[in-house]
Amino acid sequence: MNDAFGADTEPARVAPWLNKDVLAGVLLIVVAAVGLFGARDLGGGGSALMPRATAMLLAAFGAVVLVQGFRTRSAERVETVSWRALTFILAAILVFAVSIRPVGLAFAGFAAVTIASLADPSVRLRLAIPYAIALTVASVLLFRVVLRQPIPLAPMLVGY
Amino acid sequence: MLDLVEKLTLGFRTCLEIVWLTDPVFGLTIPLPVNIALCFFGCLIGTLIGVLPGLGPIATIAILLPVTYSLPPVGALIMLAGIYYGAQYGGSTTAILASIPGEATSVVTVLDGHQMARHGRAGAALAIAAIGSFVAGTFATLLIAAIGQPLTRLALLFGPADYFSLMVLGLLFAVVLARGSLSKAIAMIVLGVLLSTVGNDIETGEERLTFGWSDIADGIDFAVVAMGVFGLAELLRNLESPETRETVEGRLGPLMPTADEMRRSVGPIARGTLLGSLLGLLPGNGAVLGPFASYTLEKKIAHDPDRFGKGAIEGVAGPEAANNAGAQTAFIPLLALGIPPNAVMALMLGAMTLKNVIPGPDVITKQPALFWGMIASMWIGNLMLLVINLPLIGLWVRLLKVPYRLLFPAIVLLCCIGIYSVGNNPMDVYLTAGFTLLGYALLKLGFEPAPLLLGFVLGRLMEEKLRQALAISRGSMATFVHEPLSAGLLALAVVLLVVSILPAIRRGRDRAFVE
Amino acid sequence: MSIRIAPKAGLVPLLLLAFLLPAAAQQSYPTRPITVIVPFAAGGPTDVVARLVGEHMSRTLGQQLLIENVGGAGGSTGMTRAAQATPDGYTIAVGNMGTQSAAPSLYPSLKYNPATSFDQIGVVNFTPQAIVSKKAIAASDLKSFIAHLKANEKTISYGHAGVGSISHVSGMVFNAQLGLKPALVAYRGTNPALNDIVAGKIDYMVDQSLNVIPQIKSGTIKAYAIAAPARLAALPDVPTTREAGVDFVFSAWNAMVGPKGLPGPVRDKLVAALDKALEDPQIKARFTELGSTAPIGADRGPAALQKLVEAEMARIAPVLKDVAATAK
Repeated sequence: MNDAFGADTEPARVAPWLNKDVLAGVLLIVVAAVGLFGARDLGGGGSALMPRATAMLLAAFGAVVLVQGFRTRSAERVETVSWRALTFILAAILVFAVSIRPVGLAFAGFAAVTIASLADPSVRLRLAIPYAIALTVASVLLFRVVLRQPIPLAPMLVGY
Repeated sequence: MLDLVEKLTLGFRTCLEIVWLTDPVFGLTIPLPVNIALCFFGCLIGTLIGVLPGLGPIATIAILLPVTYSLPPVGALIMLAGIYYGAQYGGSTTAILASIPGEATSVVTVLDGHQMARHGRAGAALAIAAIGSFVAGTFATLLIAAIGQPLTRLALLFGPADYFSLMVLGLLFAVVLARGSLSKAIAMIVLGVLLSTVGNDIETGEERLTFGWSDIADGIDFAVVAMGVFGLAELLRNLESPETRETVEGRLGPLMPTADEMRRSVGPIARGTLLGSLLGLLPGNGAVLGPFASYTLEKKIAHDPDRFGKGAIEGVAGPEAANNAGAQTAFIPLLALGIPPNAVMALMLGAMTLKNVIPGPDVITKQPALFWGMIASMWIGNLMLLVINLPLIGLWVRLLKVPYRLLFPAIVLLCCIGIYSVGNNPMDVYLTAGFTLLGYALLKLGFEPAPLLLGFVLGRLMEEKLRQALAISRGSMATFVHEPLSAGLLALAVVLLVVSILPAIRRGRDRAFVE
Repeated sequence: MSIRIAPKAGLVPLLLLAFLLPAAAQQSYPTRPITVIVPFAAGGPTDVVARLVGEHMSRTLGQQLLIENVGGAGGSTGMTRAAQATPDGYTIAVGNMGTQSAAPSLYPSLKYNPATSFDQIGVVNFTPQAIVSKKAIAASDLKSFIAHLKANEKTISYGHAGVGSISHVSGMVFNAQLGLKPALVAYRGTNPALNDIVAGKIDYMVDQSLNVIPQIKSGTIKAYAIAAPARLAALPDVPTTREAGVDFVFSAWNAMVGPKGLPGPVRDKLVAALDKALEDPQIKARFTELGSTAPIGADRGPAALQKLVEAEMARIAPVLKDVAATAK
């Protein structure tokens, strides 16, 4: 997965959309713009000072990084992204978030572990599922029984 | 001095109080040092819960508070102190093993601690953290016992203006934390400050940068940001490259620090202890500055600063000592003034109130056995930390031998549950996913997450203090130079700026030309 | 994946079943633990009181009351969840004056109405506000203190724990009533504000007596009056506002509520259990130590709480109007 863009260290220009610093600069500027947009209506007291000042400063540094990216001849390519790991881990967290209150830990924990396991291509579902059940039971025992945390267990089945 | 010995003797006598228990079956009578036992259990349970990601000292104490309800006041407070130290150290353990900082003070521990773990030195990192904490705790306890009262004056010296200037100085120091591109590091600090402004404004009540989303009206929780940009982003990086996974899984060196590592840690521990003790006294959670300050100092005075961030033991020993010293001296404002300087101490105050102990100067004169018993228990708590954790290190390190494909789903699950239980709110879990994505993007684009977290922690304090100072001065910026302490700190910041930033920029420019 | 785990997997559904079984047995309320939402962090004044009373109610009801701290948006996140919970008596909440009276004035988009979204259970406790200042102010009583505040209008500063906090709301009412215009200095919580009063960096505060008793007793801050009809047992030397000649009464309070539509018998059981807890001498004693009092007689129960909520909403709304205007 690492060699998708090869090891060609040819110092020729890297396309802007693959240039690490250019992308970094763009990211900073976008975040700064979101910040400025979010602060557009602030006015009372000094509440707008800090968000606006930091957003503008962020945009300025974004511009510096961006320019650096264009000017440096040995610009680095952006590292390759492992879409599989990213997708499954984020999906695991999101499924947990969606289901923890309505469906409870008994399901959310199981689903999160099963989905997360798939982030590793060598993992087989046939083994991931029993492992997920074991981890879920352990976490229910730990958080619900031992630590008495108010985490929903299976509200639709047991009411809490 | 004799006075001090006398008081400490009283304290230790309280702690060592022995209860004779009669065994109901055989009628045997066994002496049991109850308070020592409570301290031991507190420390042990605190460590075990504190290790869980997301469950820092605050959550751990809150969970275990009911356990202490039925105990007598002295025993309850001693147990709570044990839980506090245990949880604090448990947080460092997670920082080192899984790169998840449970709270602001263990961010720095991640930097070199986790790198040490990846190079098979997790045992040494954990051991030096325990040893450094013990030394720092011992010193800070003596400090509290000997000159706790006069030290409170220091806590009262810092007004909003002075505090703001200290923060400015702190943020400037933070730049030194950075590796790689200076502009990227500063951008991360600025981004952290920007994120810290999210939420209801305490002065006007306006919702800032919430985009109408009421779940972040109180701001973004530190644990959410830390777990996303550090723990889970790091997990993604581990998953994608087989080589890094191997170093996490295998190749363990000797469990304990080598003689050379011990020797190199002496200085950092001593300096970290001093820095942490002083900063821990400040109101409004000055203790978070301790580890950052210690790390910066060690990196600045090191012969080979390049080793930092790659597993330098100095970068674990100093900050951990500072962390524990600050955790300890934060008791001073609570005990002497009755004002808790941070959230953990506020919880301790709540616990004391439940036990009908109202901290403040009154406690010292009216309940000397309890007061000095607590001081003594602090030291015993630190000793327990060492006694419990040195043997546990073997166990923790063995965790790293578990194949990563079994470990990472468990980490994901524990992170989800931990984050959920911070506020019992699924929104925090969604947010964590968002910060994981951001953290991963930042890693891929060559940013360091540590300055972001520093900006996030200091930014909130800094803005508060800035606006408090301006409210008091009715909008006059002159207050920052009129207050002598503030003026001195700002002058120091300017000097620092000239001395360290300029050469770095010049170097950066030179490098750009050479390449 | 470890293969050793697989053969044991068959046991797991059995274990899960063991958790699900209690649902089968339906008896009279309560048959399972009751969740008490506290809309603030653990360790705060509302949390301490909820745990204290909740522990006693657990014994009365024969089921555990689990405290669930749901912080956020000045407590309105937790109270919104409580208002929207199923009204079966298994989710109740302990709110305070802020969430049950001030919140509608501060958060126009609030998803609940304190007076209509809940079935009131009862007031848990009242904590009178204390008027305190830094030590260096020379005034000896409340009247001369107010004169001092008026004479130094240009430099005087008032510290509070953030917009919508009790120290903010009570201070706004106090200042409006007496025509005072101090600089308002916002802190994140009471403690840092108190720290700056002790240090003499800011001038005064109106805050829950619970928070300031140790400092008053040790003489690090000055107390002028308790804004309540009677003096506090914990501070016998501090006069009431009426004794000091100023008509300003203000108490912070905590109250237990359930979502609208609790079945009658369930609500009665909860009301009775709370009443019993408030009769307990140990709890009474603990309240006294905290500088607070349990409601007595006519102040008890759902009807009294409903009246209190409506009265406080009416009193607070006009004072917070300007603040709310900036917050939109």
